[in-house]
Amino acid sequence: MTDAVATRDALRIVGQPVVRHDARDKVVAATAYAADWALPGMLHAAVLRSPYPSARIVRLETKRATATARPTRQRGSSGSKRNGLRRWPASLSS
Amino acid sequence: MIARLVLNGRPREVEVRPNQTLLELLRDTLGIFDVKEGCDEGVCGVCTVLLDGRPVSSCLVLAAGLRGRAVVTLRGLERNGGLHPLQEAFVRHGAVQCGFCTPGMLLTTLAFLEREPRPDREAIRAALEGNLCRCTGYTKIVDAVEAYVRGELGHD
Repeated sequence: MTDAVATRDALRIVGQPVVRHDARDKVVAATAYAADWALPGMLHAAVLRSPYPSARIVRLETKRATATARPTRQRGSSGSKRNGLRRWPASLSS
Repeated sequence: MIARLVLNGRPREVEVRPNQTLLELLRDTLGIFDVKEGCDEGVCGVCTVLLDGRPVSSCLVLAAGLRGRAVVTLRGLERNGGLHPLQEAFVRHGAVQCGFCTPGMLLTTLAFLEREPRPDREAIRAALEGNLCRCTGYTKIVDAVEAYVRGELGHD
């Protein structure tokens, strides 16, 4: 028993509280999440689902979506390129 | 139109749309990503910033209405490159998992402790009820705040 405790105490990880290796970056918000990335020419996508359960999709009307969702790049004052559209109507490539 | 604000101590004047929120101004226009976007409808507390010292959901504040008010984001807490003792407490007590709620948690906590420097556990939980965390179950976050309040990490 005491041997087991001694063994455990000598272990580096098992039985010891360990500081998460990513915690420091996260408390200063230095971690980049998916939504924090902006790359040149980045594509944005939105998913449009049918509002009707079990309905058959016969046709997709994409005219309005493609007219609105044409990528328009905009330069923020930080110099980062972001897609100028923020609230997309769901767009599907036809 | 022009939004005027003092951002982390620095006066800024920025061209904004009339319907642009403070969150959109910070992230999309200024590229300040230490403010996170969660629900975008004032429910989750992820986008919390301090507005004249009070925690607000920046997704509900219109940028054009700021009129020179002081906005503090997480980066505004930096002290000569070191961690704020509350940030240190979050790290030590495992209060950070995915980390998405962390900036809002920290800012809400600090604003709360300004008003109530020695809260008990119940009061801490109540103060943080507007900040949702889907990882920790809150226990370790409250542990971290308690440890900071007790001054375990050289605070005060």
